[in-house]
Amino acid sequence: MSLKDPKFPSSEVFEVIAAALKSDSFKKVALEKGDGIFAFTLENSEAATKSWYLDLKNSGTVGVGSAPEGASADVELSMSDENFAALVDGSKSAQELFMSGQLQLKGNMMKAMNAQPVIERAKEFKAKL
Amino acid sequence: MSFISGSECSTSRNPLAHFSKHASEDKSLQRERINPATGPATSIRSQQRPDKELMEDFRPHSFNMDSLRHEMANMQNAPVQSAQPMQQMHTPKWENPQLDSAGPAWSDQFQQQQPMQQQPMQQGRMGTPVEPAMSFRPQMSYMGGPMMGSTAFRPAGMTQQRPNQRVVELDDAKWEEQFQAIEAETREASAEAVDKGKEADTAAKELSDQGDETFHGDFESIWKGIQQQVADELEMERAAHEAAGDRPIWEKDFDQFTTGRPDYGEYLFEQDNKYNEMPDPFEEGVRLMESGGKLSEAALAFEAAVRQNPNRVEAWERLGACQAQNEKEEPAIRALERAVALDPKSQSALMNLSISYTNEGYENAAYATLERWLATKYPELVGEVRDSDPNMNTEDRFALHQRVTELFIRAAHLAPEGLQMDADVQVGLGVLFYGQEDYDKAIDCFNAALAVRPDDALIWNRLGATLANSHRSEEAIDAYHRALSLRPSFVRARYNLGVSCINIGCYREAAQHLLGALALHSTDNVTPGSGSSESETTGITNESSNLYETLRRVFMALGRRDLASTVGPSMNLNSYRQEFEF
Repeated sequence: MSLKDPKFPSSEVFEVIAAALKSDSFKKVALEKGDGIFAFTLENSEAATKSWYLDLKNSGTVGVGSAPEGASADVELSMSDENFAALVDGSKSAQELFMSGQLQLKGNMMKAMNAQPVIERAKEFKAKL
Repeated sequence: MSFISGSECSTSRNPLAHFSKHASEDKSLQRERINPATGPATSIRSQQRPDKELMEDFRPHSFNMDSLRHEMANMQNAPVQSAQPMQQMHTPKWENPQLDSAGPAWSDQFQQQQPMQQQPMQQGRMGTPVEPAMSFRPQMSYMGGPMMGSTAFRPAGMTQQRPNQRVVELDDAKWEEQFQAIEAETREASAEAVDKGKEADTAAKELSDQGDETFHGDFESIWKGIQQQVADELEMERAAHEAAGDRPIWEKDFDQFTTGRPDYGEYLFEQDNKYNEMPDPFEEGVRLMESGGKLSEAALAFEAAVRQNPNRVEAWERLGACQAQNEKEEPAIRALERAVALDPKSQSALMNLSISYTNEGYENAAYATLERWLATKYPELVGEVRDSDPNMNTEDRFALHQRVTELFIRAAHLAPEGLQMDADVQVGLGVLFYGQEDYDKAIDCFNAALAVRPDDALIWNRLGATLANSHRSEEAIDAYHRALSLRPSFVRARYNLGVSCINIGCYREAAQHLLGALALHSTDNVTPGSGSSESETTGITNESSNLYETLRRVFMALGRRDLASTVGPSMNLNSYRQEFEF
């Protein structure tokens, strides 16, 4: 099943992360830095919601749903698809969104902070030897 | 003689200078005496115990492991580790479960050793570490200062602790290194002892079961017998391995490490290929590569060549190298894997394959491939190392990397300087350091390789990529320009140039370079999206999704969602020429 959902344009980043996690070295760093299961529940322009999880605790995988089978998310981040896109491309900060009530956090808030650097790094383009 | 003459002011006549001399002399004297400060610290632990009160003073700290454990955790996580000298890489992982399970015997020993090693460090941490080397001074004077005489604190046995005294001069960081190293030794030694003990037990039991009485009571001979037996078994095991399919152990490792990655499968050919009709497409491919023709054209020629003769290793090798330079990693890996399958000793295919694996993030596979390359080019080296330590088949990525690095360093030592230096060894070393994100060392290696082969566009690009990934984008761009001036059709260097432009925020330039790279992908055979080619419907089989993805994100960064949505295999490059120069 494809991670990207055309109805949620920002979901493209999950494919980017999944691609980055294929690398041994990135996975190792991501598990160290992330250390948690993150659920992202996005709401699109048609008011439909969908969740993706980012498991940086056990398997180092990305998938559809709020958590991998048999596990539960440490923290759930809910926001609009548009805000998630802005969060990912850096034009808005998580703090800004949270303060204005556009980002809801459920669960371990401290863990939520761990996701950002991992996503940041997954997006980085690496030069090729 | 004037009062303001130079000699008057010179330090030899200047009383203040003398004073400072005295001061520094004094200091060095003090230092002399204070250096044995570890003496008292450790001697308290040993049976001497000169002062009960002092004991109490020290006790609260001696088993306070928390801060230490914290330090250790930090040390492990810190990337600094790779910057430490090579020897430090020997240090095994702290929480090695095998060691932990080694049983109480070693842990007792460990407990005994622990306070001794730990205490000086704790003291060093206690004092405000303005001057780490001298931070023992307060404790020292508390104990009566120099009057006590340093020897008084030292029991006879303490002379063996000399190394510790030397260590006092080191700063905190070095302390930790030293501490780590000593502790690791202790662990290793005790774990080994336990293992051997177990072996001895079981062997002794066996012997008694057999009713063999002659060995009883003669531990020495049993011990020797067991040692011999173990050595023989190892030797036999090794011989068996080699006999089974005539494969050395490192080849088994190679298989093991290269299986951890996805199977790239068979090479996929472009459907229409005008070179198929040519009598010798291989020669044409080589000519295209050397004359600076389009890499996509050359790739087509090599594809035609391997279709004519699927067992032609050289053609697969060239095809792989060509596709990698063309920023098409997956086809490159498929072709190179094929070349290696046909000829496991193909050096250029192995080297290029390890670089492709590194780019894709399969470090283990890359390291194992490099080891195989070295075993092909310098067989005597690998054999030597394997012989000196036949138990080297470890699965740990860190250990694998360290082992292969060591091999490459040895190879580099064979011809350290001048034109005899093997540039490929330097490139291999560079790739190894790059894999560990030890970019400064990798940069040194690529520079060394360039000293031998200054006109190698590939190495310039590798240098550039390493600089770029260590956030030195400006220098990277220089290196890419060198690569491109040597080989204008080098798509990968152009892609990298685009990436560096992104990293310094020049999205417009990035778009131009990426579009330029895509333009190089078009061939007379198939022009992507131009609509004019007859074979347009088939498109390109081996496209570079990487280039499209990057370009799409650049357009997004430029705020051009309209352009971003058009990026893909069917894009019409000419339509961008109005806005972008490429």
